[in-house]
Amino acid sequence: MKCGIEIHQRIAAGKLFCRCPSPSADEMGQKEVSFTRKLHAVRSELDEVDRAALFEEMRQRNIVYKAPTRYSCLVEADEEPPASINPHALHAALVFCHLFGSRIVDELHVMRKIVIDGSNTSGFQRTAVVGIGGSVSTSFGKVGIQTICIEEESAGIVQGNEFDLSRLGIPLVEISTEPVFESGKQAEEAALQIGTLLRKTGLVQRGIGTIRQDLNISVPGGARVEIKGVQELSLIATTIEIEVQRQSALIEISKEAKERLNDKQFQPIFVDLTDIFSQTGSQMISKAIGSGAKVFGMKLPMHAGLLGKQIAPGRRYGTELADYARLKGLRGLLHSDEDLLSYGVSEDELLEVKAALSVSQKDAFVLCFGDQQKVKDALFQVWKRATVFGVPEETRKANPDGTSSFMRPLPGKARMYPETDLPPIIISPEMLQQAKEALLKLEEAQKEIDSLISLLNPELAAQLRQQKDTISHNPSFEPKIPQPELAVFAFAVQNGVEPSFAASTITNTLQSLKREGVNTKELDEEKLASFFLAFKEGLFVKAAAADILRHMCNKKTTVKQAVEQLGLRKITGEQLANLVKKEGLGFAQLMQKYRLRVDAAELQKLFSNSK
Amino acid sequence: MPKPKTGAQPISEQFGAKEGDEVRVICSDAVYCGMLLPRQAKSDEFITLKLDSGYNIGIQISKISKIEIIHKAAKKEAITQHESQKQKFSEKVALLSCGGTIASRIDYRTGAVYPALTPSQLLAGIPKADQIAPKMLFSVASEDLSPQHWVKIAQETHSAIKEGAIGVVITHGTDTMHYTSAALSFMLICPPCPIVLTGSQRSSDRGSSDAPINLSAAILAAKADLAGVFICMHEGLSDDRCSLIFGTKARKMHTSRRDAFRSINVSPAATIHLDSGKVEKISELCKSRAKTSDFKLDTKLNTNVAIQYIYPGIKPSAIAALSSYDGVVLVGTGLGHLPINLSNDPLAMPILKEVCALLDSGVAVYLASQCIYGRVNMNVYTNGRVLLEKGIMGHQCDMTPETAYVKLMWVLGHEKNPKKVKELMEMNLVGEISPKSELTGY
Repeated sequence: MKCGIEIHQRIAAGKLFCRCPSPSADEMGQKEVSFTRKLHAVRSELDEVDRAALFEEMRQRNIVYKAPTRYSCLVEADEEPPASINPHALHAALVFCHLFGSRIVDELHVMRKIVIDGSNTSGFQRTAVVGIGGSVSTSFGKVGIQTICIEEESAGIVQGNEFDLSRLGIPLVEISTEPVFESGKQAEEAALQIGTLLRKTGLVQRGIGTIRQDLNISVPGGARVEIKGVQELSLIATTIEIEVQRQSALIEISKEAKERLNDKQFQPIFVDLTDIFSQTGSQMISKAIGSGAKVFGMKLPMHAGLLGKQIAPGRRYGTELADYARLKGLRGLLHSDEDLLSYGVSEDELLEVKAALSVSQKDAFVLCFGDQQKVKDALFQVWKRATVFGVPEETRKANPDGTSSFMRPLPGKARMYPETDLPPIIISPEMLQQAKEALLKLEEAQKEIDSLISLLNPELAAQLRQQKDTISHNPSFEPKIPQPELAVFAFAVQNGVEPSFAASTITNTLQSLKREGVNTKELDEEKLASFFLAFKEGLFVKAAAADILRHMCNKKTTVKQAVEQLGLRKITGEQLANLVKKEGLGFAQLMQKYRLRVDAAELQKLFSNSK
Repeated sequence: MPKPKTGAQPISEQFGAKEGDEVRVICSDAVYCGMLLPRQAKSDEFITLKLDSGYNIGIQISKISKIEIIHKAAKKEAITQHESQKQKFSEKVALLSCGGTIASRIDYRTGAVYPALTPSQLLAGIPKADQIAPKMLFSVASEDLSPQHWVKIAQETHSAIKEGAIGVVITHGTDTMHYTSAALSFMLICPPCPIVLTGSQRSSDRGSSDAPINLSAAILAAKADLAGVFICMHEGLSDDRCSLIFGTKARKMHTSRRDAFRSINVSPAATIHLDSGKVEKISELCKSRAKTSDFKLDTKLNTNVAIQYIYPGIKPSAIAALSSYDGVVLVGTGLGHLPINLSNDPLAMPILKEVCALLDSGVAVYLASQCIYGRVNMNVYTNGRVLLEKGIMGHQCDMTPETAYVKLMWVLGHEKNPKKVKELMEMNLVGEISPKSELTGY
């Protein structure tokens, strides 16, 4: 087996070819504008029509687009030529190239990759190679990187033929490895490495759906298959194993079928069986016929028993054929290796079907019902698939259970041509330098953080490293360490706050507030940093930290406002001495009464001095 | 529209390689394999290489130490752009191709878009194409079209209809389509059938091109029971409907949208529903098909006409410089105003003297409005009345500046007498001046 992966990670920047902001993970704008389009297959620069594109055109779809005005403009609607490339996104891509040791191209050429499944309003995806070569280290050695590309995110599918334009045009970095993985585990590890490295730069979006893996798998004797959109890292190994299993099973089945057929092809003969089912007890079929559907059948000679063979968990060869029938808008098909009686089809009907299709014991058959033209088209697709006798080159969609379903034929070379609306972009020495410096700065910051964290006890250190999504990110905050929690920790310690207090506030205190139901995301680096500065200046005592932070979140106040509104200003110096005199209480009683306003150490000192 | 640069690039030749060759480029720090492409950009410091993955990249020439040729380029076959000009139009829709985005193709080697699709290539995928007789007139971007091109299109349209065409579709660049549609409206007298101009805002080489939809709709319109010159383009952002707009009342109102063309001051003639193939008449001004015997061609033009935009700070000399023209369309402000400074403001820069000098010297001056929508009325303000007294034309008319410009050429081609010119310019001839200002025309 040969396997390579493509990692697609959204870059944290506005849209790539217009000036719209990018929505965050899984956010969708309000869909105020709607329009419908048809897409056509076009000739490529090699004067060929791409087979994948032709396939999509054959489906003749009316595509509905829903456009949110906040996250899309005329560029997303394919009503205006693209604006020049977003410099922030390009900068991020250059940083990634440095990160993986990829050689950056001298001049960037934006290309159009033909995609007419509706996921791009223009009928193509804009994409460009930024870097070539490079590598990522893994436990099984260095894995070569083929290319690093920058490209547009596609539109999100709402349902059927309806797409949402919110995410169309978000910049993506695509990192393609060499096809070197010998096992699913290796691929999984490499994907994890690449994802972690990208996230550490802080230049990528976070959250569900912001990273996707595509797999390119070739099995000896099988074919190259691309599986798109594996969302969970942990599914990579399973998906690969299942694909190898699927291809091996298909190779076996085709070998068997070819032997049985004596290497002869068979013709697609569709027979109208509607009359046989006119009185059927099958609710599914009678309901369909009632609303004008036709039932057609096709014989698959010498295929007895093959359709029922399992090729992947829960998927049979029949499921594979049904995928092709579904492309024509049918819900699927019925076949002779299924228990058709369980669908309510009677023994008599089965006999009549077999007679009508002249099916013998050695043969199999498939049944489809629906609109007559659709049914015929679907059966034709099934016939085409069944007569491949092997593994077709396909683009498949990853399913959440590790299996995959057919999407379209694998596109050929004919799908790429230059984006004529954008001139090539020269990558200047200044741009290279900026990217290099950004990466160096990031690495230095990382080192600094590591040394600050090393001041903590190992348990708290580990806790702090893992602390995520407690506070929001404020892009204007320096130092720029991607993890906001770590950035504030570094800031606090560098400003003289005791490391263990800073760390336990960020981890334990905020965590317990979160558990109380407080929205700690009200805080960002800046607010939390000002909290630590105020503490350092002696505005309040440690014991008051939780109350002040809670108030800051709930009432959306600054630290000073919180301290004032809660009456938690620290009692210190002369004021404290006066308090001791006035109250006339002992240390323990005083602390009990003024726990949230008095620093125990200071009070202790006062008491021991007065003795 | 950028023109393709042709020919191999000399710097590649330095290394003994030519465009189309499959090469191995050896640089100081890397080796690349791919096909050498000619340069699209101006800078000659780079070469463009198509990698095996299909991606193009640019490589700085100063970094290249050697280019090895793996395969020499195959000889290119010349693309035949022109097809047989002999066409039988009888009982068919004539399809006259004039270039523009709708007939444009991408030059995959250079990446530039150029007009090159033949009419029959255009028709690929259009239903009932056998009922259409295509003919290539020329392949020119519409910004390059001149009044001589209008004459040629009018002549070809006239003879196609005389030879029995049941309708005419003219594919045309969109930028100046409304000038051509206005010109055809005046030159083709009493058209017996629909003459429909169409184009596209997205080139035919992309999957989302509006060309197939616009062309299908234009053909439907050309077969309908209508007569006159029209523009047929997308009605909105969707591919389901197109709008049929009267040729003298159309204007490109957007640089890039599919629905760039708007009907100015009147309702569109009809809506074309693509899914049902229905042509739904909207305007009361629509005419039905008529006898061919009354159909005439009159292409006389006086092209010595100019358009001058009026703006704050316009120099009097800009107006004085127009004296060499026989006719001038001034595109004034608001209801039809020019800076003539009746209030004697010391900061104003009046041009009244220069406009009067133009009129006195016999230049036909027509005043349109840069509001585009609405009717010119010079009675409302005193400074307008002064112009009227001086003999300026355009009062109570609602022509777009472009239609007025074309009409002035046509009128001056037939008439020299200033009084008659004024009369003709302010009289509705072919729908260019609407009888009433419709409530729904804006």
